[in-house]
Amino acid sequence: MIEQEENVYQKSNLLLDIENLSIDFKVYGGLVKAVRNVNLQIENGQSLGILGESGSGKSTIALAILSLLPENAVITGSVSLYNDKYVDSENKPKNKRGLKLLDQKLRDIRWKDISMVFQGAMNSFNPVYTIGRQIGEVFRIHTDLDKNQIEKRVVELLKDAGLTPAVKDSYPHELSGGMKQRAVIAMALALDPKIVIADEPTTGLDVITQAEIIATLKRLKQSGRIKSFIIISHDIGVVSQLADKIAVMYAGAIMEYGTVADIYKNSHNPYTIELLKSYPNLSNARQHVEGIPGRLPDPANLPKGCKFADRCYMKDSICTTEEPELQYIDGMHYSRCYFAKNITQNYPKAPNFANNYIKNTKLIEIEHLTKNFDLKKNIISALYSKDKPSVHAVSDVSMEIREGEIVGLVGESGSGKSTLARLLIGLLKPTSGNIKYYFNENDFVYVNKLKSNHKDYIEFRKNTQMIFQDPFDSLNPKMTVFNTVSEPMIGNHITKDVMEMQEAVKASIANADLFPVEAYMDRFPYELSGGEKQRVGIARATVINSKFIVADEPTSMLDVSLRASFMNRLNKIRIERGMSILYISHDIASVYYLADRIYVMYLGSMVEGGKADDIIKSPLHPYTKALIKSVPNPDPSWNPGHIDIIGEIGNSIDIPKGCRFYDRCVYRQKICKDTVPPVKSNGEHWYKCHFEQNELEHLKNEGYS
Amino acid sequence: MKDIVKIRAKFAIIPLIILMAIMLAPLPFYFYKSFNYRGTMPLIIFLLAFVIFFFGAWWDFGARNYLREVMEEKKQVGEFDVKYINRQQLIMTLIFIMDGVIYMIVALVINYF
Amino acid sequence: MNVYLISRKILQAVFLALFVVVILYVLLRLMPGNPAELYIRNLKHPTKAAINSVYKMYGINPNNKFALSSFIVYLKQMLTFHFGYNPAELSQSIYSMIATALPYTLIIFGVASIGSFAFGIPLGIVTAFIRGKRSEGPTLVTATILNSIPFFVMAIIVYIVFAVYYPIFPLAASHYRLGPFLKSPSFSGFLVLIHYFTMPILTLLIIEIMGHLITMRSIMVSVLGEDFIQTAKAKGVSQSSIMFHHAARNAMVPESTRMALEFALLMSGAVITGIIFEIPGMGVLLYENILIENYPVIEACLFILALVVIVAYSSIDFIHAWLDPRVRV
Repeated sequence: MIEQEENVYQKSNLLLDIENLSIDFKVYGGLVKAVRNVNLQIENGQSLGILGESGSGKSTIALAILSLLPENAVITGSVSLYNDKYVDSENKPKNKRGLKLLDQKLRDIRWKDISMVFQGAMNSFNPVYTIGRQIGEVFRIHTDLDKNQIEKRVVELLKDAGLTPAVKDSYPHELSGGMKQRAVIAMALALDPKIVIADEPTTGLDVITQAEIIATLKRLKQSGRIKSFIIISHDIGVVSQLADKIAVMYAGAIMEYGTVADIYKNSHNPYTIELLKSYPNLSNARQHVEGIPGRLPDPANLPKGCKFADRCYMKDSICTTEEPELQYIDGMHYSRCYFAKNITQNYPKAPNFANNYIKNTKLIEIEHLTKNFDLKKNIISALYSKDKPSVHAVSDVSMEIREGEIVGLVGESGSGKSTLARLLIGLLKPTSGNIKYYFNENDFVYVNKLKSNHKDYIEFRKNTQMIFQDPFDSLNPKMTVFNTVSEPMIGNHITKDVMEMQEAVKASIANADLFPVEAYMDRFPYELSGGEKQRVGIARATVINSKFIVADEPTSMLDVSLRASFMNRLNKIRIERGMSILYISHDIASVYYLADRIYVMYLGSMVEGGKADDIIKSPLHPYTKALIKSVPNPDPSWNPGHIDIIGEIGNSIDIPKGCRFYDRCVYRQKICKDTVPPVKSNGEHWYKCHFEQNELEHLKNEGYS
Repeated sequence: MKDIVKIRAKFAIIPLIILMAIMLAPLPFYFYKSFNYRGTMPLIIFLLAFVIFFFGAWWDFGARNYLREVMEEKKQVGEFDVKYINRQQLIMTLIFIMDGVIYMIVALVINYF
Repeated sequence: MNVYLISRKILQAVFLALFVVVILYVLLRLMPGNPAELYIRNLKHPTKAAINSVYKMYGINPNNKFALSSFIVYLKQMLTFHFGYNPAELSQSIYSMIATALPYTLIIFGVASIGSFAFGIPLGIVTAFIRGKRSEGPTLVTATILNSIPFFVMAIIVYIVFAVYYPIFPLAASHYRLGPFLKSPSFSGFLVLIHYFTMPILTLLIIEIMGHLITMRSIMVSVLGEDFIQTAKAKGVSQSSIMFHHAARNAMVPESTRMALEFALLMSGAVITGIIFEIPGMGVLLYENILIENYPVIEACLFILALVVIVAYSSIDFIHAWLDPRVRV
C-alpha cells in the first residue's frame, strides 16, 4: 500500500521520461546509429547534464525531445511529458487526422513546455526581423496577449537575461555573440517552460563571456525562472556547473549516469575516467593529462560488444563479444561496464622528463614591437574611415623566447594574439620595434631589417613554422598528406631528392603519431578526421627540424579526448628536439598545462607576464584576475559569481589613451584614463598597472566610480 | 587644405589626367595631316563625358571592399558608418559629374573655337 | 536607406539612361548610312537646298561622320522626347508613333512581369514544400524544360495550340486597336483586350514562372537548412508560417536581385512575342523600321524601351532595401 502511494507520488513528480529511445539515420549506404537505447528521467525541478564528445549523439537526443528530427531519422522508443507519450514508435498516428492532432500537440509542447537554447546562437535568429519581434512571436503563437502586453513581457525578459530593453529593436547582426546568446536565453524563458534544453550554450564565446553566461544561467536556475534544465555540452566544466545529474554518452549510448559528485569524484566507468582525465584543470594543471587513444567508432558500422572496448585500458575478452548493460552502483549511480563494481583508476604515469630542456640561451627576442594596421593605408580606405588613423593590433610588445621553451600567450579574441604570431614568423612586417633571432648566444640578427632574399632571413624562415587554428581550412583539399608535409622542404629548398624527401616525410608523420605511416602518405584531407588533420599540421611544421613553432589556437577545433594527446605530442617534440614553441590559445587551462611561461595580452598590449605558476596562482593584473576567475572549473563548488570586469572587449581603433584596460577595469581611477601605466615587476613576474596589489585591494573595498 | 579634400582631389584628378592623355594622343597623327583633329575629337571627348558620368554613378569607389575588410577586422559597422560611406560616395559621384562636365566643355571648346 | 544612398540611386538610374543614349548613338553611327538618307529619299523635290536643310536639321556634316553637332541634335531630341518626324512618312511625328505603340508593349511587359512574380515565387515556395517527395522530380524536370525553351519557339507552340488546333484566340492581332478601350474603358472592351493579349502574355508567363519557380525553390531549400529555421520549429511556429514568414522572407532577398535582372529579358520577350503575334506595339514598329533603316525611329524606340526597363530595375533596389535590414552600400 505504502509502496503504491510512493509510486504514484513518483509518477506525478516525473516530468520527462525517455524510454528505450533509439534513433537511426537512413543515409546513403546504410544506417547511422546515432542514439541507442537511451533511458532518462527528469523529475520536477531537476536538472540533467548530458556530457559527451562530438558524435556521441547528445544533440540528437535534444532534437528528439522536441521531436525535431529530420525525416530520414527512424525513431524507436518513446518520450513522454507528464506521462503523456508524444513521441512513441509503437503508437504512431495512422491517418491524416491523427498526424494533424499529433502535430498540433507537438506545437503546443514546443516552447510552452520545453524550450531550447540552440548551439551556435549566432544563427538562431532570423536575420531579417528584430529581436523583439522574434521573441514576441512566441507569445503570438502560444498566448493571446495583445500587442502592448507582449512588448512589456519582452522587455521584462530581456532585463532578466541581462540585456537592455533597447535590444528589442535591433536586428541580430547588430548584436555581439554574447548579447545574442543572452537574447536566445531570454526567448527560451518566454513562456515559463517546464524544461529548458541548452545545447552547447557557451561554445564559440570568449572565456569571460562564457563565464558570465554560465553565471546568468545559474542565477536563473536558482531563482526558479528555469525550472528544469537539460544542459548538453562537451565541457565538463559547463555541465557540472548547471546540472544535478549527469549522463555521460559515448557512441549513442549512456555510459554512466549519476549525480555530479558520482561522476566527477567517484566515477565507475573507464570512459568517464578517461574523459575527465583529458581536461587540463587550473587547480591541478601541471598534473599530466592523457588523451584517449584511438577515435570514436564509425556510427554507421559499430563494433560488436562494448563500443569503447578498443580504446579502453581495462579491456577484457568479454568486452568485444557482448555489450554490457547499465549496472547499478549505488543511489542513482549507474555505469555501463562489466567491471563497474571494481573499477581501477588509470592514473597516467607522468613521463619523467629531465627538467633541463629549457636552455638559458635566447632564441627569439622582440623589443617594443608595434604593428598598426593603417586603416587609411590606401586612398579608398582613407575616403571612408573617419578620423581614425589606424588599428593598433599590437603595440609596444616585448617578450623573449628561450631555446626549448614553450611560451603561452592568452587573451580574448581581438586581443592581437594572432597578429603577434604572424609578425613573429615574418608573415607581417612590424610598424616599429625589432625581432631578434639568435643563431647562438651572441650572434643575432634583426629579422625585420633583413631583405627577404638575405641568407640570414632565409635561415630564419627555415627555422620558424606555424601550426594553424583550423585544421579544416589550413590543408589544401587537393593535396595528399605527403604533398602537404613535404611542402616546407620544397619551399625552403632543403632537398630536391624525392627519396630523401620521402624519408623525411615518413619520419615526420611517424613523429606526429600517425600510424601506419604508409597508409597516411597518399590520403587526402577529406579522408582524415579533425585530430588527424591537426597532426598532419604538426608533421608539416616539424618536417624540417625548425627551431621555433608558432601554434595558433591549435586545439580549438579538436574534441576533448584528442586535445590532451595533441598537447602531449607537442610537448614531446619540444623535449626531443629542443624546439621552442609559442602556444597561443584562449583556453587558459591548456596553456597552463603546456607553457613554461605565460604572457597575457589585452587589446594589443601585454598586460602581464611571468612563470606559468605565478600567473595562474597569483595573477596581479585586474584583467588576468578576471580571465582566470572565469575559467569554468569542473568542480561543482566553483562559482564565477561576479567577475570583476565591465562589458566586452573593445575594438582596437578607439583605444583608451592611458591604460588599455581602462574601459573595463573595475578599479579604474582618474590617472588610468590618460597616463600609460608603468611596468611593476617582482622578479620575473611583471604587470602593467598604476597600482600595487594592496592598493588595488583597497580600491576594491572602497568601491569604484 | 583638409585631408579629405586632398583625397577627393586625388580621385577627381584621375579622369582629368585621362582627358589630357586622350587629347594629346592623336596629336602626332594630326601633325602628319592624317587625322582630322577638330572634326573627330570633340565627339569622342563629348561621348567620354557620359562614360565618366556613368562610371562616377555606378562605381562604388571601393566601398564594398572596404566594408569587407573592416568586417574581417571584427569591427562593428553601424548605421552611422554606412551613412558616412554613402555620403562620401555621393560626393564622389558629384565630383565625377563635374569632371564629365569639364570633358563636355573641352569638347565644345575644341569644336567651336 | 538614407538620403545619400537614395540620391545616388536616382543619379545611377539617370546616368544609366544617358549611357544607353550614348551607346545607341555609337552603335547606330557605325552602321551604314545616316538618319538623313531616308528623309532625302522621300523628298518629293530633292533640290540641293532641300537636301542641305535636311542635313542641317539632323546636324549632319556629309563630309564628316564624327561631327559633334549631329550628336548634340540627337541628344536634344532624346532628352526632350521631340524625336522629329518620321523620315519614311513625313507627316507622322515619331513621338505619336511611339505613343500609339507603347501601350501594347507595356501591357505585355507589365502583366507578364507582375504575373511571373506573383505566380512563380509562390509556386517556388510550394515546390519547396514537396522536397524529397515523389512529385518533386517530375515537377523540377518539367520546370527546367519549360524554362529553357526560347521565347520564339514557345510563342510558336502557343500559337499552334491556341490559335490553330484549338482556335480560342485570334490568328493575328494586327487589326486590333487599343485606343478606343483606353478612351472609354468598358467590360466588353476588356474582354476583347484579353482575347488579343492572352497568347503573348501566356508565352512569357510560362517561361518566366518556371524560371522563378526553380530559383525560388533552390534558395528556399538552402534557407530551410539554416539554424534559425530549426529555432522557429522549436518555437512551435506552424509549418506554413515557417515557410512563408521565415524562409520565404529570407529567400526573397536574393530572389529580388534576380527579379531585377529578369526585366531586361522580359522586355525582349515582350518585343519578340509582339512581332510573332502581330500585336501593333513596339515590336512590330521596331521590326518594320529596322528593315527600312529608319534610324530616327529605331533610336527613339530603343531609348523608350530602355527607359521602361531602367525604371523597373531601379524600383527593385528599393524593394531590396526594404526586404533586407543588413547594411549594404
